[in-house]
Amino acid sequence: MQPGQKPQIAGRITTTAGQTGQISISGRTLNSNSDVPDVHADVPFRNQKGQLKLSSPTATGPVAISVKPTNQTVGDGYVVKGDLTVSLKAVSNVQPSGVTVDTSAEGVTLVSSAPSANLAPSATDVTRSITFVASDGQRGRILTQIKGKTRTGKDYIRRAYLYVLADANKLYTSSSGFVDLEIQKLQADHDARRISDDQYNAGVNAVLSGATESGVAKQ
Amino acid sequence: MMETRRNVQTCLGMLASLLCLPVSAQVNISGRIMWVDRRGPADAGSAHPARSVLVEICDNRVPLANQVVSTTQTDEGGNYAVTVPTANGTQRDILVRARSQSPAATVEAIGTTLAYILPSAVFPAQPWNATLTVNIVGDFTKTNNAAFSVLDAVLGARQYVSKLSNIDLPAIPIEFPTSGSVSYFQNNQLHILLGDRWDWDVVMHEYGHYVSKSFVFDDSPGGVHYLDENISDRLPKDSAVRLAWGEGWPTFFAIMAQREMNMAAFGIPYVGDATYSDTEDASIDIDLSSNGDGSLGEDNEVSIMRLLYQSVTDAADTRVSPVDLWQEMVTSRPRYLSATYTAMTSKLATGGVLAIGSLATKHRIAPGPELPGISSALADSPPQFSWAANGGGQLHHNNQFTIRFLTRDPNPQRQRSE
Repeated sequence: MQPGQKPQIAGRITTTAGQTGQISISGRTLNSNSDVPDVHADVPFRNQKGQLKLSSPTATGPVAISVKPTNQTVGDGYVVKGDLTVSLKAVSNVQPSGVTVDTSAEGVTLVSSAPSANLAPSATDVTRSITFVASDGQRGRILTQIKGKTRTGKDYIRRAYLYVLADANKLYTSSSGFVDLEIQKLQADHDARRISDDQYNAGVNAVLSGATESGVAKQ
Repeated sequence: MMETRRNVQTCLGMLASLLCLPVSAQVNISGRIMWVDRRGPADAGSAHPARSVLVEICDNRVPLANQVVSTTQTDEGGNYAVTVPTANGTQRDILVRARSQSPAATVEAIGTTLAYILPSAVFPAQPWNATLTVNIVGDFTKTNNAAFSVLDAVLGARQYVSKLSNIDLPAIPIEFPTSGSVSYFQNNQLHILLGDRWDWDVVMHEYGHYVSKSFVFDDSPGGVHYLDENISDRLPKDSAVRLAWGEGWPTFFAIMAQREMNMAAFGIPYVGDATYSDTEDASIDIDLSSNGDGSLGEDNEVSIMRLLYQSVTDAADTRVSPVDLWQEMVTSRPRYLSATYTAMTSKLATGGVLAIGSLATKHRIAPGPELPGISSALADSPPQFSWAANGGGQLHHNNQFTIRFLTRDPNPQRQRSE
């Protein structure tokens, strides 16, 4: 980056109405011989009636930072808040020290994840309070991964997913998989007479044949 | 008048032609059905035959409910061949569907009683005398392909039971993927997680519960259990030993089935070795041939699976054969390990009893002798004996012991209780 140069960094943020927060931006020189200090900026934001409002950045370092929203999309969807509990599998003695719990999302947007304030910690369960956003038509999954060591010092990993399908009529969730979501939706649409018997049967046949899945190589 | 006769002759000719049709009109279809393991198609050894599965030959021109025109079953190599009677001069849009259904089980989509499908492409406008080769290879990223992995595991387990007992267990329904937090067996149905789709050890462990129930091999209270616990630390002793046995034996069964049926030859990752592996959704590996690290006594399922495994696989001449063990269990209908242990050792010579006793000590089921040493001769003065009690976790160590003095003769010369 040369003096006077103004490279652009594009990022995307999904927010819900009324949500406030802060975007953090960090920069570091890649030339180890340089004395250029790191750059850091915090940009407060709020979602005001569906519009993203950015406040002035608070920056440190030799580089000035400016931010502005470039493109906003407002859509229908679901904001979901709740506790997500994952049980340890087959072991009861993961040492509390050094246990890490990570939550991430694919296909939907995870807004927040924190230890649950509602449920006491347990030796065999981990509960996170999460908030996620899913727009109509989106499907995705939220992964909770627990890493630690057993009493005998062996590495232990546990992964569990919450699968999500956001339909215009209903938000479907499952701990089973995408097949369960598709079948739930077909049954609901059939019960509500949104689809015919033939459409239902064809839909189930497609689900059983893998035609509706984009596929998951890794669990 | 002539016109009329000619018309009648023509009609008779048409009728004769129709009656002759089934003799010569048929479509011949053959092929191979394969599912693909976790490694995906980039690995040459990742495709495996879908053994003994239902194959439906369909006419895609017909409405869905009536599409099936013939069915057959694959052989051990995943091959099938079928002849479909066809009306002379007609055409069919041929579609082949392999179903996740075999004599061992039906793997059903959650919320349904319907088997998954591995479909072929549609072969349109096939003439009445066509000969088709239709091979199907699953997509390893999709649930329908994974259903065939689960099904093949269960088929192998059932074949092992048949080898041991000459009994073919009835087909069992399998809910897949279950929404439970773990895979489990309940009410004569297996429930398998998506995260266990490749874990034959887990799937066959759950099938082991079905075997155990069918042959009355346990009286387990069921419920939560962990590999790294002595269950007596959490439950009353009687419940603990029954639960530990109820969980330890199915794991032993799973690993032994793979060993005895030479499933390592399938080339499926983690299948056929001596380690119980639970991958993808967890990272668990328990080596059944281990020296005892993590073995916690009769009230611990790991100790039980290891004692059983090592009793039948140790190279010593005194080992118990899998068939003998099975027959002893059929006779004794054990509720916990001690009952099985008694049955296992009842027909063994002293050397065999001592060998299995040594294994029981190694896995902290039996007491561990400390003094005098194994090679020590007894002193003239009253000898001193000591041992580690073992067993029972924190609360219920072994607390009643018998010292037996043996010669090389199998019958005890003298015994005394302490």
